[in-house]
Amino acid sequence: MSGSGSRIGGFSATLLALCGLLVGVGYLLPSSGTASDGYHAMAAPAAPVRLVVPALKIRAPIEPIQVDHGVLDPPHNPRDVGWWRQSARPGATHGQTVLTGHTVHTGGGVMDHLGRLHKGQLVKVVTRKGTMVYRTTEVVTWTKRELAKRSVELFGQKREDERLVLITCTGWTGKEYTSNVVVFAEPLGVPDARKKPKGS
Amino acid sequence: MRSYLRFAAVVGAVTLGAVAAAPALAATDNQAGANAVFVSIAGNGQGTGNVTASYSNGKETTAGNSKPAFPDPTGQKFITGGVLAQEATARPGFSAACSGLAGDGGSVLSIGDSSCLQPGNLVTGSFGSFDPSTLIPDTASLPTGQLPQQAQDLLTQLGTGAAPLTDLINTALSQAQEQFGDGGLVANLDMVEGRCTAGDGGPTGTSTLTDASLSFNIPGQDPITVLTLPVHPKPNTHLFTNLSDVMNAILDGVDADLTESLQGNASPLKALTAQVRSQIVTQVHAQLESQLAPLEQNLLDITLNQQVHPTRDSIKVRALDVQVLPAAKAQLDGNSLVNLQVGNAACAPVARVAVAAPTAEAAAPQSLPTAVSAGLATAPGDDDPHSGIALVALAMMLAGGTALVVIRWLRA
Repeated sequence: MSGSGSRIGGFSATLLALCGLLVGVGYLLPSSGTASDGYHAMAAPAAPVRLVVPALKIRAPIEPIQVDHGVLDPPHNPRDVGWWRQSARPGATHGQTVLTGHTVHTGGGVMDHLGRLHKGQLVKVVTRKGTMVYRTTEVVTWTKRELAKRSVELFGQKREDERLVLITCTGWTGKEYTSNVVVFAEPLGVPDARKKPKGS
Repeated sequence: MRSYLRFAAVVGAVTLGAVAAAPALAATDNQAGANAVFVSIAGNGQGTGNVTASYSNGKETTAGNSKPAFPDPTGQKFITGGVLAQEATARPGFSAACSGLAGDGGSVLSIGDSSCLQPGNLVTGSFGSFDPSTLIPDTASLPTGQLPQQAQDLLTQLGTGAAPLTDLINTALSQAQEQFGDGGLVANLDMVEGRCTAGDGGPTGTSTLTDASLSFNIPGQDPITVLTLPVHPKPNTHLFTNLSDVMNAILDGVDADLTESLQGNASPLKALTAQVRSQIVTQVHAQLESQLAPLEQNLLDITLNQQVHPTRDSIKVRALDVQVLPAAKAQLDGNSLVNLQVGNAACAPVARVAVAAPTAEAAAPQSLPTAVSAGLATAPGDDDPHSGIALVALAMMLAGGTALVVIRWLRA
């Protein structure tokens, strides 16, 4: 009996330890998606409310925008950023979050200098459930026609992973803009509270 | 009503002899439209007609006269020479329009340029119909009984009564009326223009008023510059009539004449002390001022660089909008007594999805964007360093006429 009790006690202790381990792992690991070292995934996707790009000194409110006859128009206020509400919310495990803001030829547009962003620089998108941090992976300039050709690639939501897309205009001719600057960024996650994220 | 009709006639002539009947520029199926001048009196409108442009099936279609002449149906040459222009164009992804007026020697540029008008020589509009002398009221409204008691006592002691003083006031006011009879408000301007674009940079609109000012001329004296207008007023800049300088000029003239009359050797009241003479002048001045007060009231609703967005991606610009006696709307079926518009331009997008989705690759689902319109030429509401005191010269013609009518009406 004592031997049986000892085995049961040992099994129980092992089970408890395993449960504790699982609880600990569950606490440490994100509930969904992946995150880089120093970051964790958001508990749930949330609509973006503010864009912060430290390298460009951008700190702007975000408001939802719609497509109008195939055209995505940023908010009327050139200092605000628009989030295409049909695109992914930050923290989603797939799709892409599309943000766009004005370039103003005479200055004052929120994304006047978007083309100066470099690969590796961070972009932060604040939501009511946390701040998602992204790392720039690519900065490209496409003509209007090229952008139209890449519409599915740029705006389609059937991606297996999530990414951030920032778009503004460039190529002012004196009458109109001929091209778009597009920035792609990969999600790092929400910065851990106890650990300073790398690259911040 | 008689006053209204008389004023309407004045304004009708002043507004550049507005031309062939045509509706004000309105939202149409066209992507761009322009209208140089439009005036509506009690709801009955006349204008230079519209120029419109639209683009469809790979072709631009335009209509209307882009260089209307200055008609002068009233036969009154308020403005000599000058140029009117109204231009519109529509191309794939882009539309533009501009309109306005420029002084003699000004030129009309093509719509592709930054503006459609080049400033010319100064246009000067003098307003014979606005006779400032009529602002001076009848002497009957200046009973000597309202003079200071000290003056009345002196008149009694002198045994002359009020008659000599009344005669003196009459003389002084007549002299002032003669002075102002050949003067009046003069408007000067080189150019007033409104323009707009709508394209991938979004809708933009600007208004330009070059060397525009208002002055008040008094024979034998240097003109008083009442107001200088801003060159690039901020969108929807509202102005309010303020004719203090004009009013003060009239009062100063009357004061001078009255003082001289009272002090002249021939004056039967020369025996009055200097203090009493001063009181008499002050009293007459005060009464005149009260009757001129309507000049300082807001008789006009003036907007420079009026901009509205009928839709998110379209715009309507009006360089100058003047509503005269907006308070009369109740009596005029919702219309101001006069509505003057100069430099109308309207722009709407031209099938910006003209950037066709590719054929080689899978076409974008209808719900996906194919263009991002995230560029602007200028930020909406950019500050204009010249904005501040402002009043439109042309509008001031109307101000004068309005004041005249109101004063007559008040006195009636």
